[in-house]
Amino acid sequence: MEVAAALVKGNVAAGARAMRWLDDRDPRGADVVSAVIGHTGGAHVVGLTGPPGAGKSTLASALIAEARRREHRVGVVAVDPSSPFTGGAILGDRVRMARHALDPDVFIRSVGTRGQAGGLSRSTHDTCLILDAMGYDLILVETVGVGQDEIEIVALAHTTVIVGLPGLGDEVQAVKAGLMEVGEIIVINKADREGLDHTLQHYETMLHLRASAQPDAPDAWTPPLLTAVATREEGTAAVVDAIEAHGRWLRANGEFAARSGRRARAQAMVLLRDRLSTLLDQHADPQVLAAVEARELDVYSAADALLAGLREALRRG
Amino acid sequence: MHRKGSALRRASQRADTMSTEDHARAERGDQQRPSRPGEAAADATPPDDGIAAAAARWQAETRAPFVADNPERRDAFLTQALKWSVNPLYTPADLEAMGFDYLRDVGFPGEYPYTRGTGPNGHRSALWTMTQVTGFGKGEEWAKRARYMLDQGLSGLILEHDLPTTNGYDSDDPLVAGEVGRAGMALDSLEDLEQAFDLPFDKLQYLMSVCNAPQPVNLAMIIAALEKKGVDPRDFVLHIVNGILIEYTCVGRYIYPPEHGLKLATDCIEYIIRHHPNWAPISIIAAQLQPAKANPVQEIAFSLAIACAYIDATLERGFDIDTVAPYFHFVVNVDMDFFEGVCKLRAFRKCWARLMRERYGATNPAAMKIRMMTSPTTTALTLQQPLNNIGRLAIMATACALGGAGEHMTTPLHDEAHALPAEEAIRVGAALQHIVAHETGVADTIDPLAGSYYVEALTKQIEDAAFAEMDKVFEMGGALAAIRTGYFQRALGREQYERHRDIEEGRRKWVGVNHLTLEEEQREIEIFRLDEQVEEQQIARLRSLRERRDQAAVDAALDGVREAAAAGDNLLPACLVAVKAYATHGEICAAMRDVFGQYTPDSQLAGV
Amino acid sequence: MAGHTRPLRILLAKLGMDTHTVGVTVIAHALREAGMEVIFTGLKQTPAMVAAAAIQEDVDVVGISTLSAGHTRSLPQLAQLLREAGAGDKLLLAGGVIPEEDRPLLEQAGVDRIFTMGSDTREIVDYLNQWWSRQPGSPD
Ligand code: B12
Ligand SMILES: Nc1nc2c(ncn2[C@@H]2O[C@H](COP(=O)(O)OP(=O)(O)OP(=O)(O)O)[C@@H](O)[C@H]2O)c(=O)[nH]1
Ligand SMILES: [Mg+2]
Repeated sequence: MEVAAALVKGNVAAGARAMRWLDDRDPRGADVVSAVIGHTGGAHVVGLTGPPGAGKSTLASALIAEARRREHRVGVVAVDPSSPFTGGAILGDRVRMARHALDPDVFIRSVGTRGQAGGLSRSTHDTCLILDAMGYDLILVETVGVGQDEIEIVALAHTTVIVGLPGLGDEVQAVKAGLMEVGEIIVINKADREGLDHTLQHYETMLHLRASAQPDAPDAWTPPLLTAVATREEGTAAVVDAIEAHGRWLRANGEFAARSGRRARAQAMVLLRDRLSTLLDQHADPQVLAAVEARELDVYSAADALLAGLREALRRG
Repeated sequence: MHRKGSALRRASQRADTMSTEDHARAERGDQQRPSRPGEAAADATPPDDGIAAAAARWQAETRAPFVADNPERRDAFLTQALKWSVNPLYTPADLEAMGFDYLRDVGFPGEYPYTRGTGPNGHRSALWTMTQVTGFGKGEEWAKRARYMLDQGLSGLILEHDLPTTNGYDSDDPLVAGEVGRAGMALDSLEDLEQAFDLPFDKLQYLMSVCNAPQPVNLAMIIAALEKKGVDPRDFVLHIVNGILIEYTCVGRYIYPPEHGLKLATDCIEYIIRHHPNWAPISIIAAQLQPAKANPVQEIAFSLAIACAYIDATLERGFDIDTVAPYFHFVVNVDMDFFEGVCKLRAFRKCWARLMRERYGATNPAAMKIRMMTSPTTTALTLQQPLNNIGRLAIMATACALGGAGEHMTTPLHDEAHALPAEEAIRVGAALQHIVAHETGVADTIDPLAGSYYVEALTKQIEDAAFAEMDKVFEMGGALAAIRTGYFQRALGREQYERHRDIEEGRRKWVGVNHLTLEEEQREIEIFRLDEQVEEQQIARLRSLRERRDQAAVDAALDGVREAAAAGDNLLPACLVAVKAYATHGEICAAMRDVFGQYTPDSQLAGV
Repeated sequence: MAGHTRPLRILLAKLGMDTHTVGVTVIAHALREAGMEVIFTGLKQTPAMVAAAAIQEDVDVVGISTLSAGHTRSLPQLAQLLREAGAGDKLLLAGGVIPEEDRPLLEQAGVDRIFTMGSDTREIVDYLNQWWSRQPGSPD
């Protein structure tokens, strides 16, 4: 496998092509994955999530700069929303990271959500895997601007960074309700804006509530509450410090590998569901479907009949 | 079905059918037309007004039956940019319904509120100065071109520099390879300007220079070059555009972050007021907002909000408004919608007068009289069948003249969409201004369209909507804040997309583009081609200069620039020392970059 | 788009100091509306920056909007960089102010198609869709 061999040596074009195959569900993609799997598992996957416009991309750009000073090789997956009507998208995160365009140790990939809820996209996991195999040891995943339910990033990342911003509006409410339960690092970006103190108090209270709701463990991770001005790169070194500290904590507790493992397991299930649903579409008996449509057959009996048909098809191979 | 009923009711029905669209606009934060003629009257009981009643009768008895048999050729008649609905007929009743008051709203030429013109005698005493935009190649080539232009009957020139220059790079910088001398005149050092200023200064009454982001460097170079040529600065009007805030908004030739950009602009304004009071230190080019698809209301509102940012910064240097305001100048263009254009020019004058009086308490009449250059727009001109553009230009130039041409007029040329101007187009364009001025009679009486019920109604509506939009910008913290948050950029981006769809979906007919198109276009005009050698030659000259000059003096001068920048001093004196030592344009810009940093804009794709 | 399981991906870019944005804005919106994924590089990019982005994103199409007369130098350079990186298979489009006289040079350099003022975005979309339908799609 030429592409697999090249990408583990860090060849950018090869890595990019493997990502495209996976995106295309080209079988060569799966082959690459099995060929490179031994080269993965080392990367620290960090999710950046928070409300739209919080400054996630700008912060990512500043974090890249700082991480590069510390000689990390940085991969970025930037997810932006696709239009629910047309499926099209303008993927704008990359613009904010443009200054890293020529750094060979930075790889940025933009992806659209393509109808997938949860703030990520179908190919995010695959893209991270390839970046990992390419030797990017720090992978930043910027989700779309999310509300309270869209916290799928937590399942993907080793470390989830919640990016909030000063203000009293809906943004904070959204963060409070969902994201605050899960973040391992909280960054209030745009600390140059009004209302910082109030917002900090608010977050402190929420973190306190969260801590008291959890059982006492001596070596539990305490989510730090940080502030940053991403546009001026202020406070961003501390964010990288916190990311690195959390990485050390994960490793010390055996959580690093455990999280990677859980992610792989979940992803296998996703793939399975995906394939099953394709099979279903292929093998659903049109006569049965026509019968339900004509209301000659009830939906439960129809589902039983379709499943039986699928089993039969699978048995015949 | 809508065809019956009085004229007034008709107007209000139209208001109903428009309301969803207007609502959507309002949500997006766009301008709403503040008052619709006839609307007020229709909502209330009809006024006991003979004309309104007569108009209603006319509509019912005469027009409606006709229209019933002869349906209108369009579903809606809308103005081109604002998309405001146009009534079939305007009468004094419309003006009355919107509370129009001749003395208050229009008045007399040369008197507040200057709607009818800032001069007391229109263009009867003197015509506008006729100018064109120019710039390409090296200094000496440009000088040759400039002499040709003066020979065609132009007396003013607007000098554009190439993109390396306006972005603060020398011609040999790898970042700008391939762009030297291409979109404007290359300028690396005082030497280039010495070559460029090989001009008949007796014929050239007026020179406008466009070099916004590096303005102090450029101003210093011009001052030094004039000195070398022995031109007395008192006999000559230099006008620097100094328009950095519009660069951030929609043009793109920025270098430093906006707050430093504004600071440098203010340095230049201050320097000119103190040292060359007969020169012009600033121009707000609304005619750059317009091609980026600002509608007339946005154009006035954004331009004036931007003017306020400069004014406020200049006032902080210890001047008063009555001293500062007379130095402000605007370039305003018109598009093909004749009345939208004419009314915009009229409203612009009034808005400025009101702004100076109401916001700043100006009392000096000169502070309230807007200084203006007008122009047909570039964006009406097509690549297809370019000779048609001469017709368009004539109509727009006429609109400029009728709207009150201002002190100067400039016209783009019929080869606009092809390349930089060819000599043929320059000649035709120069003649065109003379034709409008001398053959049509439009400049023979003052503000001849005043009193047209439509013109007065639309002028007032634009004025009111512009003030409302301006207030919105002030509320968000003024022009600098609107630039930083991308408000201006997003507003323009929406207009760009929507107005493009008007063309593609056929709501706007454009001859040669979506109407009367030709299968095969034939080249019907002369096209300018740039000499491919320019870049090489310019770089060779620059390198030879670097070898010839006194490097120690240059280094010291550049340190001086850095120190002045760091200390927050006015940068003109330090720049003057540097240009005279033959420090290059790019070197001086880089010295300031060391201190101010470099700007990466936020909303790089407008509206996205 | 027979056979494709994902939308077409296109990189839109501006090269050099040319900051005319109206055309690229219009195109970006139109392509999104036509269901494509548009990645914009930002302004004032060098050919090397655009090539790097095109390769990392592994887009199907690279579209350059050029109006300030820098195209004779920057476009061939970009095409060359893409080829050198083994990404010569991407469709390369250009639009904006491009005189007839320069077309042969650009086409020879590897620009696949040029759109100038007045191009209907629906025509551009059709052209892209047709090209895309001829590309090998998903195998299933
Ligand atoms: C509007 C305009 C401006 C506005 C731009 C506002 C903005 N934010 O975009 C303003 C006033 C700011 C401006 C400034 C300048 N301008 Co100007 N401008 C124009 C003008 C009149 C129209 C361009 C336009 O917006 N057209 C409308 C859009 C929708 O059309 P379009 O861009 O052509 O796009 C269509 C197609 O070309 C195609 N397309 C375009 N890009 C792409 C990309 C892809 C991938 C595809 C598939 C298709 C495609 O699809 C679009 C839809 O149909 C042109 C003349 C002209 N008619 O082209 C001059 C023109 C481009 N400008 C010119 C110049 C020189 C300048 C300056 C550089 C002057 C200077 N010396 O500094 C400045 C600086 C700008 C800069 N930094 O680059 C020259 C360039 C000369 C040349 N190429 O030889 C022109 C040709 C005018 C002239 N004859 O002198 N300008
Ligand atoms: N004042 C201030 N503005 C910031 C800061 N960080 C980012 N911004 C600005 O906030 C805006 C949004 O920034 P992005 O980085 O695009 O935000 P985002 O969260 O990635 O946005 P989406 O991806 O659209 O959800 C931009 O205008 C940034 O310049 C900051 O620390 N202070
Ligand atoms: Mg983002």
